[in-house]
Amino acid sequence: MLFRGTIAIAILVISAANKSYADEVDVQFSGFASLTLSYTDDSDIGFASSYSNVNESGFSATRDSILGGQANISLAKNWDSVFQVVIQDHAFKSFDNFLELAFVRYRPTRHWAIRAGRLNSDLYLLSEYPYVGYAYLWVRPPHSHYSFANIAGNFDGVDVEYSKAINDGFLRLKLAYGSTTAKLQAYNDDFFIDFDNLTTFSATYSLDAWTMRFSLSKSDFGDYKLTSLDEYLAALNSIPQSIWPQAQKISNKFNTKGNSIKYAAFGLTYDHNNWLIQSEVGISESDWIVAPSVLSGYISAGYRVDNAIFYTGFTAAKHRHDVIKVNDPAFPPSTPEQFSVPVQQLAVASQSAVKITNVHQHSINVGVKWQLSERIALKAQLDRFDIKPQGAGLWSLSNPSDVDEGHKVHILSLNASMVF
Amino acid sequence: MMSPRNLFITALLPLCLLFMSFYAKSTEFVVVVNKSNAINALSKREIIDIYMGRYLTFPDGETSKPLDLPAQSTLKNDFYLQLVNKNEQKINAYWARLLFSGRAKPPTPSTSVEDAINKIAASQFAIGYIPLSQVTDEVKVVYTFD
Repeated sequence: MLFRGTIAIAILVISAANKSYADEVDVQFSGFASLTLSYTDDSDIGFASSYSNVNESGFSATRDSILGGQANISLAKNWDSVFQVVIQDHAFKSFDNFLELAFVRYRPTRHWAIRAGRLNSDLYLLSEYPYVGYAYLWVRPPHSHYSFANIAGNFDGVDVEYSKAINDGFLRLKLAYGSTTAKLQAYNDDFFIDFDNLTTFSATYSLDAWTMRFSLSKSDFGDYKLTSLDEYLAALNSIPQSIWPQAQKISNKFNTKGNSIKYAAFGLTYDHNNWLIQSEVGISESDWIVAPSVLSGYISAGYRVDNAIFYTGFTAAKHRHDVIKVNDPAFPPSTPEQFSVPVQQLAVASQSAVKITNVHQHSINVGVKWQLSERIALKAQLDRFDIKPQGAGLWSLSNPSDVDEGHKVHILSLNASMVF
Repeated sequence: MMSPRNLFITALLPLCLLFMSFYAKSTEFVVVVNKSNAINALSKREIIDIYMGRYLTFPDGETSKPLDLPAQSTLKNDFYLQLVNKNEQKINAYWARLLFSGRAKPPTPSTSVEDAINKIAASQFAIGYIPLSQVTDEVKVVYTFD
């Protein structure tokens, strides 16, 4: 793995070449945690704050609970390293899937920083710290906007950052390149997706109470691992063109090979005196049908009263393309049933499959964040989601044949967020 | 004739608030560094750059190690209000974002003004803020708040 090799080599080089800075090596440990009890009131549809996590309905103490630990290591003058492990309710559990950060950084001047290893993306405003509930307003980052993006929230690669004070403001430009494998589960089966040639450019500017970020990202889909998808594609590819010409087209849409995804996002934060207002919009275009092509966004406003901040917000995500209409196969009159029936069943299953990844939802929330002490904040939040028919792509339907039904889901969450 | 209650609300309360506001702003801070530091003066912007984790060095490229006064102290809260118009609660959330995004570490806490002065006197990279009234010969003043 790139990040392991990079770190090992960098540490060896630094220790050999910078004996004079040996007494400068310094390690600092820190951590964060979110303990959350939440309840959803629709047992037909499971909720997870991230696409990578276990979907559940009803009461859950694990759905949004997170424990993170970090080591900041000063290696030498201009060199440092950061490791971060975040334990959360990932559907696929392995150390590699819990390792968020593991990089070496070199700062040749005060304006430039180069990092290599496992890095965090800064695609969205919260993308660099989506699990640190203490640092933001809500119990979880806005679901419509962040749920899918989280699966490529970290990657193995390099990034280069340039930062400069401009008048009273501060500008950061970053270019990142790498790859990652999203490790998920689909219907109790391991589901891995490779993101190759993941390239992201971001520009962040802060001035007094304002922070704004613009970003662009592109990635190729590489290999995938999902046994049921292999079987489904094999079945589609075995059907003669003359009987069901659309089968090959559907197969290509479900196969990762040759497909890519592009993102563009803009975010704005205004934090002045008692007001905290934040909004982001994002647009994605994906050739692979499993990854949504959506327009998503949110706006949230909070008002501080003493140690509490009361907030409300609206979020939305909508698929940008019409659902593919699956045509019926056309059989010659003499076709035996043992051939035609399975193909017809495959066509029916395909119509459900092209709908099930579709995203169309909006939600409102109200909540309060109360600063209990210097390092602990308590939160209570109520969300109401309106999920349209054929729009539950960010959720888990207990019965996939319910894909044409809409859902209205309420989520009540009580949370304690802390840093230590 | 004005009742005692109305007199308090209309006349005395604003005076009290004015006095409290004057008192709250009365801490005059200076920013100080080690006497061997080549820097002789910093602008407010350059102090913001260091204390908000934008740059990890002084303008001349030397490493900077900022110090904070004790958490939840009036002095720390006042300093950040004067520096960036943010109270300590906002500053804590800001530093949680920077620390756990892997970008920078927050200033090192000191236990008192005297502790801060001792640490600055002992390290050529240190920078701190202290009340003007407590400046000693052990440190060099590089900025005075208006």
